Amino acid sequence: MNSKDDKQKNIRLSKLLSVTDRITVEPDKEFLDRLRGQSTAEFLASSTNETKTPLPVWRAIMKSRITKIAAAAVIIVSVLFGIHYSGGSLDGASIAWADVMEQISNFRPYACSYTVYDEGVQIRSYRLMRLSLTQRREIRSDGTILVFDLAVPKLLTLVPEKKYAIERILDTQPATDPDIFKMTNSMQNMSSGEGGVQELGVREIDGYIAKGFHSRNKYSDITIWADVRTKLPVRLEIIHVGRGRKIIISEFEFDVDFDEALFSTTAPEGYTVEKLDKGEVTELTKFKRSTTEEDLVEGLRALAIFLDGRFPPEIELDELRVTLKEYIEQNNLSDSEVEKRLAPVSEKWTKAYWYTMLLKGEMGVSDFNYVGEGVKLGESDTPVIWWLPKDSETYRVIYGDLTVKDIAPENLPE
Amino acid sequence: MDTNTEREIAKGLQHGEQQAWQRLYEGYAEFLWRNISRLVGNDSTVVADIMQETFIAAARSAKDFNPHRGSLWVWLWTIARAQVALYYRKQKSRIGLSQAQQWWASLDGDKSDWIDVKADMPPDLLQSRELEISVRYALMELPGDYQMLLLAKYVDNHPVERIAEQMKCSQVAVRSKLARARKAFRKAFEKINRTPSG
Repeated sequence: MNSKDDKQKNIRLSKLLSVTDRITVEPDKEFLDRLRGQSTAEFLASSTNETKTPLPVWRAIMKSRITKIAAAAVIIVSVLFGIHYSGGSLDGASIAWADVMEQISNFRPYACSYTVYDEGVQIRSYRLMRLSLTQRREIRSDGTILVFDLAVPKLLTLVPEKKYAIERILDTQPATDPDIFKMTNSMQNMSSGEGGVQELGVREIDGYIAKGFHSRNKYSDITIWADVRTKLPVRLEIIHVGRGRKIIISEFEFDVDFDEALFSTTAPEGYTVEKLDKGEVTELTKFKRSTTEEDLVEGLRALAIFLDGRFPPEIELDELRVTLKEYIEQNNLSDSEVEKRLAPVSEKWTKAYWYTMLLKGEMGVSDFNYVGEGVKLGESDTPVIWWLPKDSETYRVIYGDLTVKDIAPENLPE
Repeated sequence: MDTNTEREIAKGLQHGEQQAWQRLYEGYAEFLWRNISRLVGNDSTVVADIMQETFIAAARSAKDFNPHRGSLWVWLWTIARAQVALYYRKQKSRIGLSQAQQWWASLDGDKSDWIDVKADMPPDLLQSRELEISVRYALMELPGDYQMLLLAKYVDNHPVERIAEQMKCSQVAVRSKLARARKAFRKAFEKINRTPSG
């Protein structure tokens, strides 16, 4: 690691971020004293079982712009939606947990959006259409479509861009899968022994006036916001306790008249279809499993050579594509030059990329970090990638000269 | 706050002890105020409102605080960060951002090197209000733990050991996460200055 460069970079970043410190406001001692008292009272009230109703909350109320805007918004939206605001109907009295349960006690076809976070980082998002408790269609953000029919059980994967499909017989017993109806029912079931369903009051959620309901057990923490007008959910937040995973389900449409063909697990005409029986793996999986650490090293070498001896700033495919495109434009490479120089890089990086997928997926490494930005090929003491193999106490580190070493955690660069 | 104190407070919170809550409050209230102010600026009413929402929400859920999921500060900051994000979402327009974007677009110089911290940014730029706005919006794009790390390391200048203790994780995890946080900040900063605000 070039520590002088590193120090300089740290100083520059420090100067840049410190601009946030220039215009700040000193703590208001009087306010903090009041808040100490108020929050202590709230803490004590919440900690006793004597009352589940929150104490009346003293607020910086109405002096505060946020509160004024929020209050005004509630009234304006209520007028637009024809809700009678008489100082009571929007305080949640008009909707109870039982009303929400009644609305979704029987299955009704619906669509919604899922966003999944791991440790605060979004890892997946998709639009879900659910025809029944066994049939669902997911449209992923990269365009891939998954159609599940758990009654068979079978999964169809479609890659429309490439007209490629995989029909897979699933290695599970026919089943139904968890959906919002089951989740809310599980909340209902928690009510006997787990502290019940608690009301969170009324807020504006995703443009709706919604009332919140919360429940928690040792496995999950579920919050449902239901539209006070229709009593249907507008947002679900599910936290898997202990796993750091959070799922947000929103943008609901209920009673959707779906075309049943959307839920067929047979590939449409015109697609190249790969059919897999129970336990069989795709050609891509076989290819991925055949890649090695050496492929990753050679892929990095090919990229760095193509980019005049420097590693790319990022190795995620979209960003890498941009880097290569910019390089080609800046150097006015002709089509024939691009073809001649890029083809071997592409071949090598494909293997390298799938090895990174293998590491992060099946091999279960943690803390995978690419830090090759600005590193020159040949720099023997500057890391380009590191990761922590499963059950290992040392990191695997690839350096700028493409040597690979096992490094103790305390020796990783800062 | 050292590990033993944290442990005692966490235990006290679970048992509903008033003293534990007050130790937590004393330990973090001012620090939280300063960090919120870094993200929202110098309007004390806004900072106070976010502080209030944060501590009330924390008070209501304190008995369920699970020390195995992170430190008290991480927990408090996660709540505060959500309130700050709510404040930003409630702004009718992204205050000053469009002006800051135009200002950034009009600048000459090696902007990509400034973003990548490969070159020094001219001092007059560092003094500009527009840069401050861009940096705040970029920070708001990041997950709470990245915000916390970057502010602790580069604004408070805390050493890695201290941050690790504060976040209740290993030093190697801090170093590793810092690398990702820096990268995420650069991306967010670039994105903020590229996107016309709506």
